[in-house]
Amino acid sequence: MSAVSKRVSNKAGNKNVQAHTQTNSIVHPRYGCMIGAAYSVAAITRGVPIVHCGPGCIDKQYFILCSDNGNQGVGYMGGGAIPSTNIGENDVVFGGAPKLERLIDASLKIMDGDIYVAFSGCSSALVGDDVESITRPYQNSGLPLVYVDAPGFKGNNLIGHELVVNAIIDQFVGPYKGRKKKGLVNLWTEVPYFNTNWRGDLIELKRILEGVGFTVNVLFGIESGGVSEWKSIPKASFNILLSPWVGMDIVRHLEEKYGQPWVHFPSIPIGEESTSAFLREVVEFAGNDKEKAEKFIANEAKQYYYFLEHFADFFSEYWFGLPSRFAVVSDSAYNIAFSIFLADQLGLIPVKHIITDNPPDIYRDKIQELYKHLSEGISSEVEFIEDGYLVEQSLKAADFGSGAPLILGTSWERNIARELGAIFLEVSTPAMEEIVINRSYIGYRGALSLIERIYTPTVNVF
Amino acid sequence: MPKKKKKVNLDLANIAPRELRLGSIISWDGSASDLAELSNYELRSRKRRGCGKSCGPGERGCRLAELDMPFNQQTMCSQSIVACQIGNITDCILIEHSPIGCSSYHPHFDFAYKVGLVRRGKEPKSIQIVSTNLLESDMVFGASDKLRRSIMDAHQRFEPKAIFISMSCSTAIIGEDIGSIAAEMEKKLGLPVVPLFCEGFRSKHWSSGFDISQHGVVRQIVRKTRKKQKDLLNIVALWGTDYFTEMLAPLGLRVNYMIDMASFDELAQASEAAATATFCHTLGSYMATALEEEFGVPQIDAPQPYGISSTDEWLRAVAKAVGKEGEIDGFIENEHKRILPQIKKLKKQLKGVKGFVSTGSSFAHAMIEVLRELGVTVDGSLVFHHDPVYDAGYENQNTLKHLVDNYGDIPYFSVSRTQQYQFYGLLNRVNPDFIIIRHNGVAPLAAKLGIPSFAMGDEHFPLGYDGIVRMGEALVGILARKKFNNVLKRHVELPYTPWWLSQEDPFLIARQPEILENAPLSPCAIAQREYIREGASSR
Amino acid sequence: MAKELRQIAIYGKGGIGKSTTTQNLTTALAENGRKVMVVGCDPKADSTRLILGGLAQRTVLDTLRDEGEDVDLANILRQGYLKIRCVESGGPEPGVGCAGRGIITSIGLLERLGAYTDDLDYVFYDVLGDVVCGGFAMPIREGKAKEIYIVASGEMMSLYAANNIAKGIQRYSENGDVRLGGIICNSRNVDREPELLRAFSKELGTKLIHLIPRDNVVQHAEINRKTVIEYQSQSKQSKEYRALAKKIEQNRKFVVPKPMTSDRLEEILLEFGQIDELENYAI
Repeated sequence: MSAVSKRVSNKAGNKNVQAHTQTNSIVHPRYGCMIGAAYSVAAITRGVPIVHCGPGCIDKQYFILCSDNGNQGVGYMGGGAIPSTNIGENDVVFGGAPKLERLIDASLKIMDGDIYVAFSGCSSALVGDDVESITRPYQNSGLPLVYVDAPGFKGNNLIGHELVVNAIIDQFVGPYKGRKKKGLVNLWTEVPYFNTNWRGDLIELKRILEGVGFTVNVLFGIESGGVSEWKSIPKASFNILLSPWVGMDIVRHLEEKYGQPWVHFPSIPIGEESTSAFLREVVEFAGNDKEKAEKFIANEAKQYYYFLEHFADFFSEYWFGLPSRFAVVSDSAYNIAFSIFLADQLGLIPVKHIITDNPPDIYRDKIQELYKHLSEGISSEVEFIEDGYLVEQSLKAADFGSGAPLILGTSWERNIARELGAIFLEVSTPAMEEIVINRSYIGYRGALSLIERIYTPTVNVF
Repeated sequence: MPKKKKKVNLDLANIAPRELRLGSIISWDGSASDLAELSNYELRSRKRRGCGKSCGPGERGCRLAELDMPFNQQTMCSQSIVACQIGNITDCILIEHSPIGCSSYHPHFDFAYKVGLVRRGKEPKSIQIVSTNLLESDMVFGASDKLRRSIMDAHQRFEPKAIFISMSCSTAIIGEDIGSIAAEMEKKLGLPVVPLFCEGFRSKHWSSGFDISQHGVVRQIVRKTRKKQKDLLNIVALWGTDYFTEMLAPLGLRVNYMIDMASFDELAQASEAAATATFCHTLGSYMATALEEEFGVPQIDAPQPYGISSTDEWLRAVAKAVGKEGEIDGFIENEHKRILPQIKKLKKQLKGVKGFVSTGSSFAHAMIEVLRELGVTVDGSLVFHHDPVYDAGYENQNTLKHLVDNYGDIPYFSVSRTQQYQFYGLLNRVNPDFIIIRHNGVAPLAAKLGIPSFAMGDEHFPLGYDGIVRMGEALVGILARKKFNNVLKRHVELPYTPWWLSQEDPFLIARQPEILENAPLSPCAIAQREYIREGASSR
Repeated sequence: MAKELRQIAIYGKGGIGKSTTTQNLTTALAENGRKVMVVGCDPKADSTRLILGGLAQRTVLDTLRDEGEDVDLANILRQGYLKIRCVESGGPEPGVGCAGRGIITSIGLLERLGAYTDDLDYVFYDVLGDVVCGGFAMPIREGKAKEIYIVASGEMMSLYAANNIAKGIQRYSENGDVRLGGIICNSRNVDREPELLRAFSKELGTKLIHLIPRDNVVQHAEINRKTVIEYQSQSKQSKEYRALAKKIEQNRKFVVPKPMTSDRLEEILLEFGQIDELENYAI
């Protein structure tokens, strides 16, 4: 899959081995495992994940998804608060189901939540604990308990996110035969915690969709109404999916279950032009009042260009050099979004796009296609690499010309960025050297923040 | 057959977890003096040497009664510990034989590693821990070929001096034979390949991971030699700043830090050192004992170097161990003169302040001693596990007893892993002005109760004479943060039910399980149940 | 001179008579003054009951679960008839947990507790059924049993299992020195059984070590919770077990087995008339 495959001499004597080809090996991980989807539950207002796995499993997910990813913090739920069976040797040999049952019982009395989701991980899956039969009686008695089989060897936290959302829809939201509510939409986009700016991004997305007349089920984060909002998922007139691939299984499931149509935008919009285009398309799809929408868009555009115009003075007159070539190393959703914005709106030359979140094969061609049309006349290639060693090799092999390139990446790219003399910004998991509070780089307002963040280092040279 | 038996067994690649070796516990509540007495350190120590009466079947003489908590929150595992130990050796590679999720701690360990390298005067660089990245099919068909592949990748890409392999829960359950593969690859590559049996479920406490790491290093990396470097002192450490060098300067000693940030050669020379010491016996005891038994490198026979009199004793013991007995006395005297006025001043500033220590066990004992030197009241402490004895079993390593005997009792002394739900009650019992922590998970709760935390990322900070002053000065800054925490306290909620928050005893549900059985369900869960029922009828 | 400890694993299809064979065989060895330990690797924990005379034996895993610490060798190792040392690994109830991991855990504990003393001549592992997962291969992994015997009969399913076990041995012999010592036939009085077993063994590249005839005294001894040798020392069957013990003691032919393809196995079975029987069986 990797474009780089340089033969090196092989001391071990196995002549067909290439040190620079993708194998199973991974250094510098860029996603968590399925049980990390517990953080999607923690992102639901008063959602309580309960995990049935080894003692360190969920702690590790806290680091890659939360602490080492913008130092996000967990707020009400997450981190040290997550109930865990912490499976021990006896539970493996004799079965861990009784321990889980005891934990669920206690969690319902100790943890103050609106919805509880039990996850079972690798160990319980391998020894065959029958978790479903433990959770069923609680569900039968009407308690808000959901169960997900989430062993880490089955996939990463993004696949886990889709699984847990669908499990909540099936086991908690349940069947619905009532009428749809016009103007109500479900928004499926970034994965909470995993997408470093998810909290700020959801606020911006909700704001602009409300601006053009929608009521939005945003489902995660501070702007969500929590479980009652989840209960209203079936009432929405359609689903918006803003992501290249994560969430496809959710909107398809909702279509099948509730007959809801969905509209798919593989690229999260950044900047006025694509954000306005996105809003117009959604309004068109819904058949909303266009006049009202245009009024909102016009006002946003006015504000946006007021600021952009000011920025243009710096951009045009700065003496000491600005980056002109760029690389993005990130998950699919941010990668395509940033690549389009930089190539199409700032006029930077795309050199490398490395997608690190392991999209299922069926989506890869479609993702590649998006890079063929980054902007008018601008086409680029994308690479799918999960191993940090190969990411570095790929960046080293790239032709960034003579000036300092711009690299948007993760903490793992910090060293190679320094080596390449790049302007560097951490935008994706893990982002250890960032403090993210309510930051957003998308939509109208986020785009301006992104410009600030990219160009501040160019003046901050001493 | 009461023959003298070895305290550590380096013949086997596998090592028993702490609970089996030392009788370690993870759940207990009482006073520090009671725990010290019940631990039966001396009896256990004799038994470990094979000359005490064994606790045979039915004889529970030295078994510590442990509370069985029906509710637990996330903690840490031995496999993580191995990653932050072995993964931080500068020129060796660790391979994690596991699905990728087991490697999710790496960004954090990477950061700590870089900081650690800078603290030790080495060039900062990234960790390179290789995951075999196992998938479902590997669980069914076995994953040994992927392990071989990753070993080859590591060998070709990073040219390490040794390769370590760590076991995970899933690979342990499917019975991956990392021992045989290590032997096979060692032969093939001509460098040490070290299997580490650290699957998370195997020990109830993550600190077993320290022992497993050290076992692998002593067994396969440390040079088998009788050569000596008389001025070299091993310090089993983590990432702490190099304060030991300045402490030992008067004796002209060089420090050999292990395992973090050490190179292969630095680890290999451990057998040549004049002696071994550590900043914390919870961490260092296994390695120190192994080096002592296997290579005759003695341990420093003194309390840990925290607080004034223990630092005195420690320095004298080091001097004795390196044949410079008496040469340190003048230095000690001068240090007292230098430091005592500073401590006096700090004591005035910290008068009436109450602290709570929540760290690894032996380190917590030391920390309380330092706080009490500064006149800070410590009525409560939480340690994440308790080892009733350490591997060497030396009297001077009985750190809990040392604390109680020299600095007095701690009325609320609790043993529990990082259990946030208990932390609420633990803090309420003693109302501290600040907490000291090193592990994640509990401080965010204290923060919402208006209590600032001193996150002691540099574990060497409180060392020696200067450590007392460093601690005191830092505390003044920490206490000021109470403003921030009080803002939080006024405005945010805790994720626990009113029922649980109304309980005074953090260990109640273990002591009286029936109370939990009869406790009310979360009011919100009940509300949801009503909601669900209504919903169902209206549908 | 230090004695060479022989560690031997006995595998075979469930119900084939592994435990009976192992216990009688080890008793015969002990009669000759050999120091023997038997480690039962079956969750049913019935690999040593004849040697222990039905003595209640606490399994390693139960002890580990209940004690959690301070496990003493005396808690889990009992001496039975002729001072044969007996250990039962134990394991979970059917359908829960992981029996394979249980075997790994218990053998690890035995090693650490020093059960493998220098005076031992033999350690026998009596392993449940097939090498179904890594846990069941534990006894033949590096540094443990290097000799394997497979108990089989003329029945087709038993030979299928034996062939599968041979695959497991072949796998572990690639990087270690685990070898197949031979096939022990525990006769079911099937037609042409000796010939079939000989042909089967030859095809695997090994030999039929011994054929133990079927004899009701075995059942009688079991009802009395004794090995045949203890129950009727002079019986014909006792002599058979002694003969087996002698052959194993003298065996020097250890091979990397050559497991068959299923087609080849069926050919052999067909040749000796076993396939028909299966077809009848299937109806």
